[in-house]
Amino acid sequence: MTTLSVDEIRKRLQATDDSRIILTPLLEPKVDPGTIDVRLGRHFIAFRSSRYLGVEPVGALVEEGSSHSISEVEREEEFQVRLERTVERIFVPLGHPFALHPYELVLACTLEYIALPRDVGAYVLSRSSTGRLGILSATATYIHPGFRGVVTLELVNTGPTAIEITPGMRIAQFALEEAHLSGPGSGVGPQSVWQFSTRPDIARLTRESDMPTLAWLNRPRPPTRARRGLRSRRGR
Amino acid sequence: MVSVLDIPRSYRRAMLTHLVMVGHEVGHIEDHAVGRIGDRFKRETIVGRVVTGQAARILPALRPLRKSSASLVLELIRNWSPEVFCDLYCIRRLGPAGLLVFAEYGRVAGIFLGDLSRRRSEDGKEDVEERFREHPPGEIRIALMIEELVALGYTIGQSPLDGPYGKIVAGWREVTGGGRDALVRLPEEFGRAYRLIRGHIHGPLRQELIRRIPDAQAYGPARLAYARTLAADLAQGIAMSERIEADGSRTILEVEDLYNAAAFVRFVQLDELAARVPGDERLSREQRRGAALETLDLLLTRAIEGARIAADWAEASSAIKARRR
Repeated sequence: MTTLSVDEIRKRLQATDDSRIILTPLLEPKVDPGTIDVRLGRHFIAFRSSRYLGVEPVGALVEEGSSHSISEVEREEEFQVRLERTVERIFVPLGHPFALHPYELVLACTLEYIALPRDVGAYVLSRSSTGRLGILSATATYIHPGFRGVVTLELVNTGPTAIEITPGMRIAQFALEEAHLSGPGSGVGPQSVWQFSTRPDIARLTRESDMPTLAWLNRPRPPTRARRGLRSRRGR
Repeated sequence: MVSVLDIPRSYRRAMLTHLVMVGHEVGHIEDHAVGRIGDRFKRETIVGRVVTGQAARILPALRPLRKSSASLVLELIRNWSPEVFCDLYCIRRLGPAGLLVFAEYGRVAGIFLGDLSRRRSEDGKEDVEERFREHPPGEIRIALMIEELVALGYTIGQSPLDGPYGKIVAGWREVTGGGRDALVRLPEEFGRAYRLIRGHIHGPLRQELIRRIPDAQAYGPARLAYARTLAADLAQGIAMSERIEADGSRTILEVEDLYNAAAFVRFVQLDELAARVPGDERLSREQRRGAALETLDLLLTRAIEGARIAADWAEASSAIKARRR
């Protein structure tokens, strides 16, 4: 990994070939060595904690006695629908305030639509100016080479007071690095569920390939002889 | 003055790319501004106040008809003229996207005489007649739109409407048979109204169109070439809102270019986008294409949204600079 210089970032932002880095719209860009600032988008997802007791992605996939007729895909969809009910999607126009309360998590996204070439990856970093107010911008910080879409930001106010954030403000920065990858399988592929996002997205944990395996291990089973023995030993 | 668009109920079934047809509805606003071309055309025809070659041609065409037939022709002229005006307005503003999207949407909305007669063959002539009293059959409308494209400098089957995109347009030209096939199956009055309107297109109606959208501002072949570059980006999942110029500066994209790029992806490069759309590997080709259509709508929305943000930002920035001076 090599950090991109200011000149290299500018050159790639103006390029029209495969080396181009796309951030669009690019409003008065601030480029520093290795980084470029990104702005806060207009779409938010806030959690309505009073509407649910907890999120159980594996539990949702476990076949209950009464749900044998429901397919794995249907259970996944059911979970996503339930998860969707626990959140509220909010649109805030450019320049208007959005209040982020202490210890609150909201999902937001970058104002810019991003397209990275196959040889550049990026880390999402909190900006020091907003960080000093207590705002952390992202927890899932790596953007793979070849990614296309807006980047979902997980905003948390770790400070003691509510803070007004405004769509259009500089909220985070991308640290851009050259990735030395080549050949098929390098960069993000069609398997990435976040590819081509145009809004912040809620988690899609149930769609991960190993979730059915975990759900299978968690399925209700009749007690085996070994387990019965274990239970009777414990009982003594 | 506040203009209100009446969006047809059937648009609810449409995809965003179909909103190209709002270009037609905007044409109705222009039509009102012009002074209701249908009413004017009818008035000029009946009263003969305007002594033009056009009126002189129209009156003899009506003379041999029975009174009831003549009034039907006049009603058709009044109803069809603004619709044709709006179709051609949409073509001048949006180029080939206007035609292809209209044709696709038309299939869904059932505006073609061919589709209608297949579906309602038992209903008989009356229904067909009633169905096309307000709007001309799709076949006629498409034929006139293609004529307008040619008038704008598009050469169908050659560059710039060459390759698969041009083939689709050429296909529609073939299917509609210049609108003649449809007219053969309609009552005589419909044919007369069509011929009168077509004569009008080459006269006052065209003058009105050119006054509204001069040739230099119309969506001509040069702009389509750029839309194809944009389409290549869209097919790779890149929702550009700005054009990067040779000197590295950026120009905010026009909605017309984005719509034409989306139409190009829709009709020519959908498989390319489908190959990149995230989804289960077990999806069939048709399911993938369906997912790609949804993604295309999202990408188009995003690109338009980005262009709007960039325009708002530029306006605010220049206002602040002006205040500081």
